[in-house]
Amino acid sequence: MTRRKERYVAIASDPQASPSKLANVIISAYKDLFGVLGLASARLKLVKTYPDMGVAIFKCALEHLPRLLLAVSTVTELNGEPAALRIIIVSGTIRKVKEEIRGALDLLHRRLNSRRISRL
Amino acid sequence: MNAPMRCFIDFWVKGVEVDQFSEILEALKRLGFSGAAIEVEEGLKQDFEELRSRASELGLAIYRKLVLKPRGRGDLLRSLRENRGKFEVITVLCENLEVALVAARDSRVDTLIIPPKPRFRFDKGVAALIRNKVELPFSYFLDNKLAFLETALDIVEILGRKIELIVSSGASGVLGLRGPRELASLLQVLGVDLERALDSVSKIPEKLLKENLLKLSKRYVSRGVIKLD
Repeated sequence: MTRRKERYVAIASDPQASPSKLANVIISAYKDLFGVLGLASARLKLVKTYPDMGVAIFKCALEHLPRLLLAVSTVTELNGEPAALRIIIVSGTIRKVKEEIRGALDLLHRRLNSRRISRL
Repeated sequence: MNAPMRCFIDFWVKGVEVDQFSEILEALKRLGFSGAAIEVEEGLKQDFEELRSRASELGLAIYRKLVLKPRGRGDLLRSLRENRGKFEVITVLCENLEVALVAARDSRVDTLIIPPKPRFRFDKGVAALIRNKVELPFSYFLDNKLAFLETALDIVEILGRKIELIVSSGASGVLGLRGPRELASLLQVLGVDLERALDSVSKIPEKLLKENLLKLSKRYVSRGVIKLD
């Protein structure tokens, strides 16, 4: 039996929201567009969250990646407020996705520190 | 050897106000676009060159776009005559068959938009006449998913093999913008392969803009004839 290929997708929301909320919205958007069968065949799973950045990493079957991207794009509201979800990175390995997010996190911390120093 | 990188273009960003403009340009850049066709509001028309230089500082090329909603043939032809030389892109929103048939064949029209659930049937007969590209705005999909998908499936099935498709965001604010891969995923889900889906947000609009910029330049004489410096 051949191994199923998967993709890891890091998703953030604009404006920032909690990753658990993000996950619920994405799953319901996917189900809304492609149904329960579509959701099951996509093997969509929430793998990791970064609550401080509002980022959620999902895993999904490679052949269903366009469906996930489309479902993510259909989200226009979060917590009753207008919002948009943004794809940060799509990769075949979670290591690559984590590296990308860590890089973004470092940049954020550096910016915050420089602001603190400038205040002093 | 690696294939050259694609330049992604959002072919329709709806008329934005001046104070929103910088935000939209930054969002387009962040999403990975290198160009955008912007439907210009009346108030922005005079400042467009300034906005263009502001966009080029960010590494973005912006183009003026006009979206026509003619009532009939005469209305469409008059608008085309008046505006072709002023805009880099002209799109016609086809609300009836008469407009669709004229817009499909007129070389001054760049793209057609067939609204969800049009009040006319388009079949192989209409497909045979179409010479211009058909645009699918993502904002229409967000407004009414079922109606849009029904029409888009017909477009891909009947027209998709013969004519080129362009997917644009049709956004009027930052939150309405979508990344190039998200826009392309719309066509992928409708059964178009990845390369063609990506072409619809990169190569096809890029080629169209290049041709139109040449036509608007002073070097252009007529089809196939340009002045050499």
